Amino acid sequence: MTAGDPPVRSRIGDETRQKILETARQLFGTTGFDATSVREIAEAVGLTDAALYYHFKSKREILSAIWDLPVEGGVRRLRSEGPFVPSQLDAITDSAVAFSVANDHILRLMCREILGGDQTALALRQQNRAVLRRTLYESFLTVFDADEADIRTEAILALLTGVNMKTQMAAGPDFPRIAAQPAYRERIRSWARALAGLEEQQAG
Amino acid sequence: MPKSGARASQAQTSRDTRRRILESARSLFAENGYSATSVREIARRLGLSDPAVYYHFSSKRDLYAALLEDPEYGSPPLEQQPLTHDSMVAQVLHFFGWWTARPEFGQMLLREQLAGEETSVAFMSSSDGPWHDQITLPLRKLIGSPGDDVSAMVFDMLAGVLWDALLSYGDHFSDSVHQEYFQRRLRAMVELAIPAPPGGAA
Repeated sequence: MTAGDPPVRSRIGDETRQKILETARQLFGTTGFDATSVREIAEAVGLTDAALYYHFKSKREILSAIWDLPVEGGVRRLRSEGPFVPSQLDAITDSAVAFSVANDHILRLMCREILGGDQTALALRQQNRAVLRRTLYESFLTVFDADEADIRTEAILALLTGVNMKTQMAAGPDFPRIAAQPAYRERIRSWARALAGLEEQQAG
Repeated sequence: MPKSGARASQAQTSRDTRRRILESARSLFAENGYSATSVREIARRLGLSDPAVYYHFSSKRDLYAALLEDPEYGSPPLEQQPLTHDSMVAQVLHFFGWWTARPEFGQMLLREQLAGEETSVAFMSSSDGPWHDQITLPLRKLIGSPGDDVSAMVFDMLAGVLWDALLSYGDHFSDSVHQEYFQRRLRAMVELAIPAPPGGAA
């Protein structure tokens, strides 16, 4: 390939690019980055290798572009004026579960790449977690002192990582279906409530 | 070769060999991953023949499974102490300490789990194995029927702590998790997760 001017992208070109990224994100997430070939991605999109190389010079470049894709749905910021109540906690844990479901493929890929030393993937994961941490921490501060708010935040963050990742790894491609069941959400809600201790606070 | 009549020492040698095989396998799996390690390599590293390894373990998977059920997990502090909230917390922290002492192994296991390797995935269970015996059963005794649910919750929370630490700290894992700050937070989280026994006697 010649290193000339970057091609002027048409709308169709953009759509193809988008399709390549979505497909690659899925394939990398299920098969792993190393085990997926450019040819497989091209075939899944319905392109020739050459056509795919027109959009991305290498598999690495596809991965870099994937990290720039928007992740679907963040943690809802449910800060209201009064003290933190259990129903607000439920809304936060529900949205964390919804986030894991919507981003199943990219979250798997992210973890694998972080273990392989990818700093961009690590930064992205830390960024996602920081939003969730801040939401929980600020909410807990309306009820507890800083130390206690910190511990309860960390405990719930760890719980969400543990339950979601464990289920993701055990269920494989079934994860979105399993995590969408009310029983799954209820279990996380009840454990998070136990760690939050908001009921005790109100009773005492 | 041991002389006849020295059966006890022969059994001891056999146990030693088994332990050496496990150690060698653990470090090779950690270095190269489960799939990329062969029984031959494990044997070579110890100067053993392949059949010598197969005498102790019928297959690579069998060896891997034995590694995941490592009895040295144990030496439970609970056995010497009365069962209280404090000793229960200590037991859980002791268990978790096994993992923080072996980051390479934890990373390898997580990699295999993310790839969906069956033995590794099946290992993430709180309902059997050493976690069940050493954490769930005493918890049941301590707080009654909610013990099972609490045990499952603590297991998942600690899995989350371990995975977050493995992913976030990378090569600095050992330094980070042994810092006083990390340990203090960890203890506080476990204390929070395990409810006080009914009656508040603890």
